[in-house]
Order: sequence, then structure tokens, then C-alpha cells
Amino acid sequence: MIDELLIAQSLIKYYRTGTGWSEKKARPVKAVDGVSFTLYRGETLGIVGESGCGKTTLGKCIVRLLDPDEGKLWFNRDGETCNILMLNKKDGFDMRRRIQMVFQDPYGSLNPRLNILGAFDEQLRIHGFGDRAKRREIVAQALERVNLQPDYMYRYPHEFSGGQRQRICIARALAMSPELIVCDEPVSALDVSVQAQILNLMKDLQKELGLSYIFIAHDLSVVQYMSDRIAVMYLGKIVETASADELYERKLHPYTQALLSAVPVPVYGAKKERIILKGDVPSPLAPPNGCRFHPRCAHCREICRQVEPELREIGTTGHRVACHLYDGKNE
Amino acid sequence: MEQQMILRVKDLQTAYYVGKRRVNAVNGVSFELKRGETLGIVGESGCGKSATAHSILQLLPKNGRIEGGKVEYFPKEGEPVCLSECKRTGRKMREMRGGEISMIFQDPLSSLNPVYTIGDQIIEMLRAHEKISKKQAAVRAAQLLDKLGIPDAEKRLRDYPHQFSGGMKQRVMIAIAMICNPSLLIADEPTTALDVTIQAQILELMQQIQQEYGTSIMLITHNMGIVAEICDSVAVMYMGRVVEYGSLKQVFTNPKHPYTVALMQSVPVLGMGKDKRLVSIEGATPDGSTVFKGCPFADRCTKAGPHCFDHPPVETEPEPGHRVSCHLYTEGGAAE
Repeated sequence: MIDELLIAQSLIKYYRTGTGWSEKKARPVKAVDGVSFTLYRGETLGIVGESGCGKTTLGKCIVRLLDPDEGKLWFNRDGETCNILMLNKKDGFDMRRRIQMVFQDPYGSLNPRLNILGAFDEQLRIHGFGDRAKRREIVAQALERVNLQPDYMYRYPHEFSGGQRQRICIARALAMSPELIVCDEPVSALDVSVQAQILNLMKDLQKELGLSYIFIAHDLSVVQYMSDRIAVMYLGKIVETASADELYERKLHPYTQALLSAVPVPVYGAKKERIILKGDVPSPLAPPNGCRFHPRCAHCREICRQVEPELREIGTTGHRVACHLYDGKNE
Repeated sequence: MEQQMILRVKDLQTAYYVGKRRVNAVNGVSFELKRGETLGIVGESGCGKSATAHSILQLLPKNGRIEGGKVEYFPKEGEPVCLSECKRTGRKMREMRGGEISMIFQDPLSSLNPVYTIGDQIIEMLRAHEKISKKQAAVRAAQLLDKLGIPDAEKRLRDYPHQFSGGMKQRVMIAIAMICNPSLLIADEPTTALDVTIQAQILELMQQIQQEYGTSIMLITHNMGIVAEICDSVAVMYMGRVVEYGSLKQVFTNPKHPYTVALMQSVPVLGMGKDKRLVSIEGATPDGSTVFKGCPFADRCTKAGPHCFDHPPVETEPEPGHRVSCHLYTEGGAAE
């Protein structure tokens, strides 16, 4: 039976900018502006978008490195659903173990002055994973899981290559036996040949341990390869979500269409219709009125300038899109 | 009619000296580029792609040295110029840089000077190579920016780099490179720092420039997709060597070197589905100072035999124009 692990309900996170007295200076950056999604257990939800669309902020809100301003995050904790933003201290602490994160830069996310054991040990100690010998055993197991030798735990981060470091970061997340791992661009700092190792490893771990992933990346081909379902973000909002295959075959939102067509395909003679978007992503300080994509959209109509479209379901496959082009079609 | 050659690199060798260590960044690289064509140089980080480009223009840092080989440039008229024999700060070299051969760098953010307006920076380039008044130069600069898709070009000449977005800055970089109408443009990862939709814009723009001015382009990238989309020929590099070289069709439809094959299978392609498994290359790229007795790829190669570890591979040409450095294609080579 498929059960829901995490449900986000209209999450909002604004960054206040400046401390100026004028209204202009006090305008917030609307990094995440009303995002809702559902993540099922054992599934991977991919989140794609260009830089500045709020995907990393969303990831940080889920692990609560940042606290969302508004919205709810329902987590299925051993059968009972709780809003993890409203938990008391003790339960919130427990949530930190269940949701782990893997960051983009494997060079920046390991302390150069601690050996690998030290990097793992702190969290294991705080969360009460047993005495020293027991903790060491857990670290050894986690390292073995990611195909590294257990005695690597006595080495320091500088002794490892980028790919190995990313494995260590994944192992560190695994050591806490989490249910959900939020991966923020886990392979974008790596070389292509190493990238495949990490992606395969993450897929194997998911199968073995029944993990759920939220996989944040800007590379559409990587996201499509990893995910069961994909959410496309643009300026702090989800504009389209569907299963990975469906999104590739039947992309509805003009932005998704452009995004997919812009990805270069490494196949000879694969000349295809490229949709070139005009201009840049507008500043999230002052997102356009109406549909946020309308200044760059080729299908822009009057209504798009005024009314913000809602994320609506099209068809029966759970394909949802926020675009006026599909108004009144098969609700 | 045979197409005219514009650049020929023969057995180029470049080394960096770090302390007492010697790092062979470029280790016998040879390729040709024809007029009006695009050559893609692909490889992972540290394989010597950028070092090759920097050697061509003699832009190496102080601890880098060209140790052998020849770089020849064939201008539209007149005698071929041997770039590797020019003095790096000599007059000839300065004339070539920017005038005949231009370069765009990976990071538009750090390649522009933050304290000068972009107008100043474009005009400086133009006035270094042509006798032209500042006013006329400004007009030319504005015309070019307009052509490259920057709205309000005349006004924006007075803006500073921080007032432009990433994609716009890359357009400015292209403008600086193209203002003297060079015959060869070397683009070192021009879109790596940009988003995909902006990347598509810039690639489209580069193709447009090529059609209009007949510029040859040497495109350095790690993205096989970009190569497939805009290049005519490809050189695949690994550890300072060109391991495979040929036309786009040859390399992409019939890759010969195990490294090229693995590189193509290791990237996910849109629409390939979730169930197909990526083929990963074991291990990591070796350190640059490693000296190899045999083939540098041998210890990561699935087809390597004992021969591969002891003898360096010789370049062979299994089909015309398609060159591979691998023992699999030499007679009596890689016996299992």
C-alpha cells in the first residue's frame, strides 16, 4: 500500500532584505511562495528549476534549517500524522534524525579538522546511538553501504576525491537511519564519470532501505532519471507536477516545454525544435503580476497578466499544471 | 574544393611546475580546425582542455610552459603564423590575441572588470587593434551589442558589469571577443555557469555569429549534449591526451575508445526512462602529476589487457579522419 510520508501545504518563505525605512527597501524576496506537494514513502520527488527559483530554500525548509513563514508540513511519523513545524522540542529533535540532507558541495560540507569518524560521531552521540564501540560500528556499516572501506573513518576529508566525499556525505545521512533524505544538487559539483557512480548508488540504497528522496537539481536529465515524480518550479511556485514519464511525454506548461527543449541531447542528429525563451528570470523581489511566467511566455494572453493561475489537475494521472491555457479543460 | 585550414596543433606539450612537481597538463595533443567549422573539445575537469586553449594563445600562468609541439595559425591572407614560436609578450602575439583569435571564458562574472563600464571594456579592445576614435568605437560597440540581443545598447554601454545578469554578461563577453571580427573564437566552457534556458540562448547566438561572420569556433566543454548540438568535429581528451578525434558523426555514432563509450553511457539522457541503469566509470580521474607507463585510462578501463598497462597506445586511424589512441585497434594489441 502506498502511504504518504510528507505533505507540504502552501509553504511560504520570504527573506527580508535590507533594514531601510523606505517601503522599497523593505520588500521581501519571495523565495518560496505557496508550495504544496505530496511525497509517498519509498518514492523520489524531483524538484527542478533554474537558479533563484527557490528550490534550495524549499529543501532547507523541509529539513528545517529554515523555518517557513507560513504553511504546514505533515509528516507521517510511525502511522500518526503530525505537523513538523509545530512539534515540541523533544519531538522536533526526533524529526531531525528522520529527515537528513545531502548538500551540493562535498568540499564545503565536511569539517577539514575532523576525521570522518568525528564528522559522524557528533550527531550519533547527540541522538543517543549507544556507546563509543557501538557508534563506531554504525559508522563502519554506513561507510560499507556506500562502497567505502570502514577504516576510512580515521582519515581526514582532504584525503578523498570529490566523488568519495559525496559518498561520505551520503553515508553520514544514512548513519542516522533516516526515512527521508533531501538531496540538494548532490551531483552538480562532480565530474560526469563520477556522477553516474553516485546516482546509481543512491538508487541502490533506495531499493535496499526503502528510503524516500527529495531530489533537487537544475539538470533535467538527471532529475528525470532519478525521480518518480517531478515538480517544476519557477520563481517560488510549482508550475507543473507529474510523473517523470508523463512530464517528458506530455509537458503542458510553456515553461516546462521550453526547459525540456533547452536541454542538449548527446545523440548525433537529434536536431529538434528548440524553444528559446526571451530574457531572464525576473527578480524574485518583484515577481510579475498574474502568471509569473507571462513576460517570457509565447502564449501570453490578457488573463495571464492579471490573474494568477492555480495548480489544477488535468486528466486522471495526477498531472497538475498552473496555466491559463488549460482553463476549463477536464477539471 | 578542400576547405581551408585555420588552426593546426601538432604534438603540443605543456607542463605546469608546482613546487618540485611537474604536472603534464597537455601531453602531445594534435588536431586541426577548418575555416568556418566548430571543433568541440570534451573531457572531464583536469584533462587539459583549458590548458590546451591557454597554450594556443600563450595565456599560461608563469609556472606553465610549452615544452614542445607546434601551433600554427593560417590567416585569411598572408603567411601562416607559428604561434608556439612567438614570444608570449611579443608584438605578434598581442596582435593575434583578440585581433585574429579571441577567447571567451567560463565565468563571465570574474572575467569582466567591475570598476570599468562595459563600454570602456569593449572600446579598449577595439582601440588596441584598430586606429579608431573613441566616438566611432562607441558606435561600433553599441551596434554589436544590439546585434547580440542587448536592448537599449547605447545606454547600457555606460553600465557596470554588476548591473547585468549572468546571461547578459556572457553576451558582453562575446561582444568583447567579437568586436574586432576575429577568425577564430575559443570558447572555454561558455555556458557552464548559466541556466539551461540561458545556455540555449547563448548557443543559438554563437551559431548565429558563425553563420554571419564565418568565424571558426573551438568549443571547450564537458557536456556531450552541447557538442552534439553545435559541433562539426570532436576531440575527446583524457589526462592531457586526445584519445579520440573525428567528425561529430564518427565519434557519436561509432565511438571507438572505451573512454568515449563510457562517457556517453554515463550521462542520463532525457526520456531514457528510470529503469535503465547508467554505466559508471570506476575510480576517479588520476592526479595530474602521475606518470603513466602505459595507457592512462587502463586502470579504469573494462577492456584493458596486461599490454595496456605497459605500453603507451599508438594513434591509429580505423576510418579516414577518425583517430583513436587505444590498443584495441592496433594489431596484436590488447589480447585479453
